[in-house]
Amino acid sequence: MATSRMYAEDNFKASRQIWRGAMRAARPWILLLPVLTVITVLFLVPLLGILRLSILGEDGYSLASYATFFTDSFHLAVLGRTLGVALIVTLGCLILGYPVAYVAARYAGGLGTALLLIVTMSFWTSFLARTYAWMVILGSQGLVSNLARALGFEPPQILFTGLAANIGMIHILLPFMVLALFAVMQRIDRTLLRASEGLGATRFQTFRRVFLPLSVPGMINGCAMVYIVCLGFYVTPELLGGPRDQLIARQIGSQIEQLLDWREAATMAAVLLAVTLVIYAVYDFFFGLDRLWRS
Amino acid sequence: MTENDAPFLRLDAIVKRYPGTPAPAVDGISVDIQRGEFVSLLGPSGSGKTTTLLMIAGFELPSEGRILLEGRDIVGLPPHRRNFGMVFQNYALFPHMTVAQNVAYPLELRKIPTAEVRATVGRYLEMVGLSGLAGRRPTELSGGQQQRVALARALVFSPPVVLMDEPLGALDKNLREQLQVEIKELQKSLGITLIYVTHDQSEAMTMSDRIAVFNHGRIDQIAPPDRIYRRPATRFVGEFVGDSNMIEGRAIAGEIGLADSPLGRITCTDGTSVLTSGQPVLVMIRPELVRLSNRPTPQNGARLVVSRTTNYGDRVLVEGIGPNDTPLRLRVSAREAEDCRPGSQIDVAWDPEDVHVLPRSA
Amino acid sequence: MFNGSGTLSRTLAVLVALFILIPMLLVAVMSFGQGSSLRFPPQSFTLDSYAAYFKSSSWTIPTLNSFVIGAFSAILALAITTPAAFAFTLYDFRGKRLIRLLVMMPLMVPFIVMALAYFFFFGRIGLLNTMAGVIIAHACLSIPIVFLIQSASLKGFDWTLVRASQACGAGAFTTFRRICLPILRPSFLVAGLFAFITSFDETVVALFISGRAASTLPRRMFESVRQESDPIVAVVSTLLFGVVAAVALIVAARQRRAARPANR
Repeated sequence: MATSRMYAEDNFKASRQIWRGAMRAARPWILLLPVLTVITVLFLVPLLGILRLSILGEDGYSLASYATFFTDSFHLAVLGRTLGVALIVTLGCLILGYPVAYVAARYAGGLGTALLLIVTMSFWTSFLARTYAWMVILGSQGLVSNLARALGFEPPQILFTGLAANIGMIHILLPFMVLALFAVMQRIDRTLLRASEGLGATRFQTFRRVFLPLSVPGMINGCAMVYIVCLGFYVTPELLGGPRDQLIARQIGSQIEQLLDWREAATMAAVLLAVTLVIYAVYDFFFGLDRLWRS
Repeated sequence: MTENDAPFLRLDAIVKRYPGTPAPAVDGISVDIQRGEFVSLLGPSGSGKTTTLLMIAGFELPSEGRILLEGRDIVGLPPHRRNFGMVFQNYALFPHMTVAQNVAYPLELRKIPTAEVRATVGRYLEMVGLSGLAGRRPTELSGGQQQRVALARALVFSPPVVLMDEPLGALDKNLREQLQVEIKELQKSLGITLIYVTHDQSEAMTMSDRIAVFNHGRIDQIAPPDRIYRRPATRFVGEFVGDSNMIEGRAIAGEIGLADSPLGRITCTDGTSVLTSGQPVLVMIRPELVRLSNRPTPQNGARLVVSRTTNYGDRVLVEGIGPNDTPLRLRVSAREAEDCRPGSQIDVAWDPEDVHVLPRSA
Repeated sequence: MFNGSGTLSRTLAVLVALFILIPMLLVAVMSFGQGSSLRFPPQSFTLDSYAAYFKSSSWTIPTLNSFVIGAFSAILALAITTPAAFAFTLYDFRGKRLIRLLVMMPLMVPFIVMALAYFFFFGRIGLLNTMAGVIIAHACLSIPIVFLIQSASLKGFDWTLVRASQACGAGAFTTFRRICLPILRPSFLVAGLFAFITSFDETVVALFISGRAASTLPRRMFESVRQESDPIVAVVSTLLFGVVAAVALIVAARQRRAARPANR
């Protein structure tokens, strides 16, 4: 009797241990369940929905819309212009952002702090507000035009051109670039610079042979981020750009607004998504995505 | 089995395997611990001592075996229901609470009235010498003070068993020795059963009632410090605890207490009764028990050529080569060491009582 | 950066900083102006536009909507994502890399693509032009940033504190409430704030799915700017910039004060 009861008790304990073991294995999945459910149902399903839409023809699935897209010279021009504008904006941000990040990193306190403060404020300020600011500056009744008139000549149209859109995008994405550069520059060991100067290098040589190469990771991160954001930028080009300088995001937007061709919009979205993911994949292959997200 | 016969805490054939590792981390450990006893788990890192402690605490589940507290199996109990106090190496003080709040935390969880909590916390802070620092944050304390808070927090709810995982590992030498004394005194005066994990053999020697020496997931020997030191059960114990000369030899047929070794015949007065003649044995002699002799000794002695001396201040370690190229170490005073220049010949001897013979496994 | 004292680099940096700063200051000037929202400099200065903003329900309702949507989507994103951050810190499991990629997806997909996706998806399930729809969309878009912040802070968390708490006699729930939560509170606040701002500033998705009924502040601003008639947009922009500037200056001053004793 007693032994059988002990046996039963042991058995019960053994089973409880196994259950606890199973719980331990299951716990990460319980914790992951909410996020996986939400991402799947409320993010992936809508996303895949438009991919499906893009290959859904009148009679079954077909890639016809993609064939149309890649043979249509208008669409190809839009895609090419999008890639080109993103490149210009990225380079603009890099050229303007580098000195700011450099000074912020090398002259900590005083000027460096002030620069960072300005960049951070800009980073956090609504980009609609910043877009609006450029309408005020570049508009036909705006600062630049009135300044030109005061100087005695009739200003050219700037607002609602590609130039205005580019300036606006550079202004809005510049903080991204500066912060990405700064994150890397800040970690450059000062003693290396001193060592270089101690070895007889001039300040410029030290910059070019030591500092610049060490800041390359920051340039890559900043450029990758700015380029990717720029590809899908809708609001600023829509508000500042001209009707002839269509970018792919604006094309998608106007399709939604005018409820025109669903399949075409979905196809363009799919192409934009593919280009973006390819850039991410390339970055991941060379550097690992974790590095991008850490900043 | 009635409860009175049962030991206070019993580890019964505990095994712990981790998936993906070939050898078990803990490989069949059985220990009985009495109420009020101070037991150290001593061993190198990876020997299973911390894993054993975590299983006693309930943070790890044994793969096999039982843990009995007063005869009751507690393996199924989660850590917070075991009512054991615990002190960690990195102190693990709650950074968002003051010293007093840290110590009060276990009492609050036990729904003790506020006034009593305050009084008890005050008493224990005084006990560890931190009365004036009750309102400080842990980050404002030194390492030694932090560990005193952790001590008070582990003791404040009068747990039947207190577990400490290398609690002094992060402190410097002087502070460590001071706290060793304090912990030992607290343990005695409060009558706590204490299980103490350490890799520092001198710490285990000075504090423990018994030491369990861990080696590759097993306990090689569990015994009082003096016995561990003088009569180690295995070569590993002898070499891990203190410095030793290990000489390989054979028991001599028919003659109890004699061993044949490269250094000649060695007599001992202990542990040889179990040996059969011709059996391979290890003869252990502690270097501090070898003394200089002014004449050659045929048994329990040797003539050495000194190869090196190292001065440790209080003692000098003399290393020499004896007959048959057998190395032997001895510790002598600085004055004695003057005769032991490298290259010189010296005669050494030892007492049969200080010789320990243990079986030599292949 | 090219000569001995670094004058050139500093001059360049200051010029770029002015390029960053001046547009925002101009908007502030505009907000006190009278007349067309796009004429600069304004003819005269008043506070009329500020009064108009607070009186006009076509502005105050979207503002309120943005706060409500931001708050709910932040709480939702925190609640969904935090357990996952715990799972990633505490456990190793199969498919970890893939799941991490999945969780980060909303950061990778361009918002305009998601705008189209949600427009289509919510249209089908009847959530188009509703607050609930915008809240759901914004919560999804905030998941990556919350995940990154929470993971980073959990990585720095000392897990022996959990064991210490259990050894003191606290169960899992009490340990979470009394130890984990207070210590991790700053990280929860920061993650929540980032999620809130992500939602509050998000324009593209809100533009297409919020409709008139659930219009957010950025959507209202977008429409106002496009119609280029409403001076209130300058007021809103200035208020938004003012809040950011005030917070930034306070934080900077605090950091300076915190750094000072350490220097001594």
